[in-house]
Amino acid sequence: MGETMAAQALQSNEDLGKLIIRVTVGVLIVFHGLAVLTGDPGIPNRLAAWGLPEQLKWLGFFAEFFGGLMMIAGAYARVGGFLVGLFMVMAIIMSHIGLMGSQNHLFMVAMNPGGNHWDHYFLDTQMFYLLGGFSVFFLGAGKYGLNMGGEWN
Amino acid sequence: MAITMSEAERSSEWLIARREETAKLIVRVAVGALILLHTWAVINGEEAIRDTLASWGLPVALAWTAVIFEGIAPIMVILGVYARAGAWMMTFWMVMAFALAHIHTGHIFQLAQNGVGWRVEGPFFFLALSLAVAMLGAGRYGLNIGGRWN
Repeated sequence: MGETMAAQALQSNEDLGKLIIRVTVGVLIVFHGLAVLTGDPGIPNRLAAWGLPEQLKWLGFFAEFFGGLMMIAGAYARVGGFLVGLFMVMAIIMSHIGLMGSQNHLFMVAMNPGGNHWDHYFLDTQMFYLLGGFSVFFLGAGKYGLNMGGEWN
Repeated sequence: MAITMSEAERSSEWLIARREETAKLIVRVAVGALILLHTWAVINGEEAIRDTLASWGLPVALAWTAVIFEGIAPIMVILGVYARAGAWMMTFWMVMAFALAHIHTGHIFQLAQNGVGWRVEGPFFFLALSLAVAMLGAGRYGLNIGGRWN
């Protein structure tokens, strides 16, 4: 009896952990999607550097904004997580590994504002989005959400 | 119970079980490794944390508790040694960071300096993913020390 209750508590913790990851990654990436919508030049500039049409930024917007919303809602959350993870792989290839005029940031550590010591991994938030997105793809939404999408949630 | 499983069912269950364990490994190594770099900064005299402590009239030497809360704790999390306990320590640390540095300063209501994304997304990732590791546990890929606290 005590064992079963402990097992139940652990199980519900598992669902809570999944909720925390998918809402965090989802809410934060939605802000990046909104930046595309309000005309931030970041993605268009990189598309131009690769000689690609600016309109492709809407693919980025779609992955960031709707992928994020899917994760937050728990509606096809695994698909949303995969979209965000894939988007970040593309973003890192296009902007952070030294191709087409970008710097290679993969092995870089950002300095503090004073420039006298290491502060953090240069791509830490990018990696959080990439790994967080794929983690949601692997973990699924858990029970706290709209529960839409069956195996794809 | 005499339920017979087909070979396909068995292997798909194996995959499903493994993908959860894999995700737990990914999350805990990511949050653990990335916070360790910041700990290295604190050891080398990072100003932000010391300025914050000073502004609250707290002893600047408290910055050295970073060695425990964002030094030893993430190593426990990465290795899978009492990982849940380590994750709770990191969570406490990040809650303190928000309480002392990011709430009354209004950072939590601001966008990043370049206008893309939330201003405190980095610290918030550390906070939320630490809490998620505390909830999820280490999974099977690690040293598996600590029983229920792993």
